[in-house]
Amino acid sequence: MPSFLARERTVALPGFSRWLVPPAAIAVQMCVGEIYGFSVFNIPLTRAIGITKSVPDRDWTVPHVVLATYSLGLVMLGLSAAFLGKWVERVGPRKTMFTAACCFCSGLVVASFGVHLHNLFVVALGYGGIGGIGLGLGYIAPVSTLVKWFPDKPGMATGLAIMGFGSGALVGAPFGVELMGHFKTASSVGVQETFLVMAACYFVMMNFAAWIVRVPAPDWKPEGFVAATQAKKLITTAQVVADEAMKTPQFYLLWGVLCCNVTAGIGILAQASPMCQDMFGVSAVVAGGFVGLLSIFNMAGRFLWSSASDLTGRKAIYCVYFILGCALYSLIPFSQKINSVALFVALTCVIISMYGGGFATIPAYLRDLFGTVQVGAIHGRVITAWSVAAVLGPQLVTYLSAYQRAHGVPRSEAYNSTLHIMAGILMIGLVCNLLVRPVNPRHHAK
Amino acid sequence: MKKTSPFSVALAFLVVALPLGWGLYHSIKNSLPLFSHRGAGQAYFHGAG
Repeated sequence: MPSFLARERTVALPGFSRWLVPPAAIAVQMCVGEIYGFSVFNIPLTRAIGITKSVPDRDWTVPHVVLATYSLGLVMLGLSAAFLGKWVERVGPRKTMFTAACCFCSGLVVASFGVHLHNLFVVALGYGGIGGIGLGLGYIAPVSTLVKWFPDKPGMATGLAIMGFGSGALVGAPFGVELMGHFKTASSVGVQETFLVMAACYFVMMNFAAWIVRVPAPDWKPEGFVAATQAKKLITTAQVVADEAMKTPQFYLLWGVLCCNVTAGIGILAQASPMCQDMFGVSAVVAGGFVGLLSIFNMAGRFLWSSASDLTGRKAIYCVYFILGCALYSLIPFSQKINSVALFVALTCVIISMYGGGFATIPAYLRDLFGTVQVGAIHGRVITAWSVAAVLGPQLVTYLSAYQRAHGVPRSEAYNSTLHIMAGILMIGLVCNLLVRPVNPRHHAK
Repeated sequence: MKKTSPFSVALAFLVVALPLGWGLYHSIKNSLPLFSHRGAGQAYFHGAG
């Protein structure tokens, strides 16, 4: 008899409701999406010894902490998703979710031990290394499963799954703050204990998802759904395996589409707080509220835009992201010129919603072009674009604005040229998107 | 054929909706200073006379 985790044991019996799968997907993504809220630990980790203030030469610095946790975690996410994608397709979602839970949560435990030892290498090994592998597995497993359950609404399905990742910061950040407040003492910042409690909670949540998740039987289809017998222009009825997909120009065009969309969005997201303060002179507290608002739009955009793509088609919705995004980026300097925080907030919220939408729509776009057989593995390889963009976007905004200030440009106007560059990057993404054509049938699996 | 009960589906959604709602509440609460900020308040009515 196959083990509880085996793919064969997860094939749904007749009568199983596919609506049990979205909560499983959201649960896993919500847990691993905690990385988006990791910044709440940055300052406490730099005071692990000094407690009330950082001790020079003994306490860690913010750049070191960010590199060991957030940056390494995202790089490992991309690598594990790219290299383990085919394994995920083979073993199924339950074993993958369980493995993701083991990696992500044991990573937190190791990181907690690293904080106890005050050894940044152990923290990096735990959160960034082992935890990062859990991140990658947890990110791709629910997506390919949902795409198979919702052939009639693939955009909505991927939107639901990836919305969960966007919500990770909304839950993880306040959860971390509350726990640190609870465990903080005169001799501890409370991070060590917080990591352990988070590991336990996330382990329960992710295994709840692994328990309820199912894959559809091979001949299953939704009630009343008639699968297209003839391919539409950009929706194939054929299947392309991951290795073959990498030989097509469509794979690299979609990689470029994602990279441009994410570079532009993440540049704003990562620098939202200082940008808001520099451009409008608002306080850090107000800017913090602005970041929270962006998180909500980032999450909502994932579901709404991706669901809309089921009606408009994937290519059309990406044209909207790029053309509207370009126009909105170009308007941000105008909002600063007329000193309208309201206009700035409205523009950036729509931009960030499309950033989230771009993330959520890409698996459905891949499914349209390459079929469902190895969509998880192909998705895993495409999201390496995210790792590149995660470095490129924030660096562009930070360095260009610093360069402008160094050359005498007023602080409030230092972001203008960067924003125009972001608009240009979106235009490159638009060109990539417009070049997407159906995959040549010679790449189809026999 | 054993059909999944709607109660099970609702319960599964509740398990994820509870932490999500809690996080959403915190984010909205934290974003309120953005709307009560004096400069921002003025800016909201910029051009409205």
